[in-house]
Amino acid sequence: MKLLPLIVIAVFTVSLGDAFLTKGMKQVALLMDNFNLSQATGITYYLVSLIGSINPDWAIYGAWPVLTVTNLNFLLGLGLQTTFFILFLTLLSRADLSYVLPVTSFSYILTAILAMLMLKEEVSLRRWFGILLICFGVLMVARGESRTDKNVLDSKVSEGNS
Amino acid sequence: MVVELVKPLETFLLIAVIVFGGSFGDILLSRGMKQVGEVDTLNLRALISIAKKVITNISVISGIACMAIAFFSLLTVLSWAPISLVSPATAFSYVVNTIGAKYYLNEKIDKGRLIGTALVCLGVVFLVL
Repeated sequence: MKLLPLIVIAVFTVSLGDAFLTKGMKQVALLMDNFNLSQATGITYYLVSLIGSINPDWAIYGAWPVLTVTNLNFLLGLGLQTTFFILFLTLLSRADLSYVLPVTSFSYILTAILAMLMLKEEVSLRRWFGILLICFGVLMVARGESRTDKNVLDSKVSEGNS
Repeated sequence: MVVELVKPLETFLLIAVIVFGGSFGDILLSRGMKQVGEVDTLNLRALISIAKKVITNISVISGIACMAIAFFSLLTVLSWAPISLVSPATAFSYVVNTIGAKYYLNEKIDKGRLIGTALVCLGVVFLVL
């Protein structure tokens, strides 16, 4: 696959993943606000009562992870983030980090757009300005990424080894 | 248009944990993987022996632990904070990485990189104001 489509897919994957994770976690927080085991259904009821059967006090703490891992938006977000990680590693094997880092930083802009569309977040003008500054900053940081002599790094690593 | 932030103190604390956990995780993992050495074989027995070295390497284990802490902090903060704030704010890790590269790896930081780091800092200030 060519580099550019891979980058576009990677940026969309990480932004969508972030948006779905947020959606999932907000739903879990809402459910946790008035969690009541007697009203829980299906696998949530089964798993939380299983934790509660070990120690009744743990049931309420067990509800959070159980609600999280059974939330479809969370699972979708996690899957997308995992896909992004694999795509990121693939990109790194084909291009320099100093190229991959700045292009994936465009995901901050896409994430903000998705947050407005999917999560109805209000993004102020000031926040947009901050996001753009960060993108420019990452662009400049990554430009000088691969300039250090490799031998310096290697000697540091072997120092840590001994 | 002012966007009010619920639980600002907890939000900033958790973003700091995400940033530092992620950066320390990166540094520890890359150090650990360099200690293990390059994976240049497809031989099954050799791969198993490499895998054993990876999962028993103390740097790799601590690196994964740092990343796990960072991920759980992300999940927690996302349950109340807006993603359009949290996602770009994690770019503060570039600042931590630059400082780490200068003092821990003795890398030379050129002018462009210093300006970039300053821009990221300034951007994060605009995010949270």
